[in-house]
Amino acid sequence: MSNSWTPGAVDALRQQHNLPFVRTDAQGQVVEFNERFRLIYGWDDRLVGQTIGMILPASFRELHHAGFSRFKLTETSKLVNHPLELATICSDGAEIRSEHFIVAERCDEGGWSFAATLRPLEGPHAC
Amino acid sequence: MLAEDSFSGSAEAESRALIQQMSQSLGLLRVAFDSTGEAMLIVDESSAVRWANQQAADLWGGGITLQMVGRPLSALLQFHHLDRSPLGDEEPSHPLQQALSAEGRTSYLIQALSAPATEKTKLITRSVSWRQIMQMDQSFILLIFRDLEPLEKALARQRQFINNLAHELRTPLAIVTGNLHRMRRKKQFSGNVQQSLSDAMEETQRIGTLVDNLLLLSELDTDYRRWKLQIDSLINFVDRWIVRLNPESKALLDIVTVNESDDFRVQLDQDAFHLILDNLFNNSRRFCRSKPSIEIRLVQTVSQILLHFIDDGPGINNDDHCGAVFERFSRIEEHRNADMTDGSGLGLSLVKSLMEGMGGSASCSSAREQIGVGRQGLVVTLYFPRHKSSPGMKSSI
Repeated sequence: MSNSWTPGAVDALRQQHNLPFVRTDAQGQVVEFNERFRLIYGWDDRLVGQTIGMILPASFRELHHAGFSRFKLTETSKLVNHPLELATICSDGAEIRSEHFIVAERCDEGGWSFAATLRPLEGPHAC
Repeated sequence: MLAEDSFSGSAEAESRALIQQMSQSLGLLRVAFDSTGEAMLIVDESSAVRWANQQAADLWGGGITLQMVGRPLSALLQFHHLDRSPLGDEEPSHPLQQALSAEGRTSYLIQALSAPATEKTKLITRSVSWRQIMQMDQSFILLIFRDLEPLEKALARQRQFINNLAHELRTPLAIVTGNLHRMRRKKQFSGNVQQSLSDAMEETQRIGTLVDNLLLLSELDTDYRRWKLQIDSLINFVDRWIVRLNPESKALLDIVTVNESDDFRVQLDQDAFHLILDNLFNNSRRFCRSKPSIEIRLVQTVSQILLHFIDDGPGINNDDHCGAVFERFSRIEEHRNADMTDGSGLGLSLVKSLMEGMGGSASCSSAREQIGVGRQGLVVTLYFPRHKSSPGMKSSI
């Protein structure tokens, strides 16, 4: 399993202004997202503090939550540092097939921070 | 107000602690499921993957469990019979179809459809077990894929050996049988010699049947039998068996359905079912001194359809013998008859193995126990799981 946690990985993703970006804390709750994410997927500030599972189809949530909890126990995951094609849920419930690129980084406080860029693969913003 | 605030604050803290504990449990379960050597999948009513463990993802999901969710099982892997012929999604032998009747297990060859082109033709052998699970009015099927254990690999080698042995024995047996037939046609032999020739022919035939039965048992032990499962009323399956019998045999049978309106739908292999009834019939004819009177009684229970095959022979008086009759080469000493050639000693073992291969089972008891005092005879009961199709699951009906 991949365990290469590049320092500064989260910030490197944040700098890709052309792509939607979202970051969560160690509990998987949304901490921040950028304007592209807001524009393409339609979410507003009310998403902050909610679980990132909100942007995944319901059938994916079990594996997502289980995988998240497993990461906290083992600190290993096959999902990070790979492009991953997944459906992403918009605020109006629509689904957009997107390529997720997830990174994990240990914060100064010792906890974990997770971030992802989402490249829409369909719809008007597909790239 | 302060008290209320402090109460809601403590309730929130408790909820948070509970969620944290559940999250940790979920993570621990995930670690456990990913650490097993078995690949596990749960599919929903539309045959799409709902859950997978890491082993399954490594085999059929490019290593990422999330990527398997929502995809049809048929897009990820293809089941093949052990003779390498592909198994259609709608075929009754497909694990998802079999799971509609009862839980079970058998071996398949499996092809990964998401593998790179060079790997796509590769087939791996797995022992697959299935079980239907109901969760909040939704139906799911759990599939577990296990690599063959050393014991199963040894059985496969033994099957190959028996296969070769049967092939080697069939030719000399055919030559011996042919010669015996020719000699019997010659008129110059005395009555004693003619009798010896008849005995030799009977014994040769018995060896031939023994070889066939051994081969079939070995196929069943190693899941090599190619099942052709069909769904129909058990009454129709029995009728189709009776049609094949000669008038004399038909006259010995009486078919009884306890309740005509019962639903006797089962899933079984017609050829295997014929073999089962042939063996039971031959068994009854062998042990009943005069013409046997045989009753086939069909009964529906909540989860099973029962077929009682009841004869009026000597039956079994010792309870210990009830289990022993299904053991290979077992013969109940009290029933041995010096005037008669022994059977192969495999007939009832075959009945049991064939029933188990179709997801059912078999047992035996005395007619006295089953029907009542004063009644003599043997009752062999065949248990078939009732076929149930859930509304969303694809069925071959």
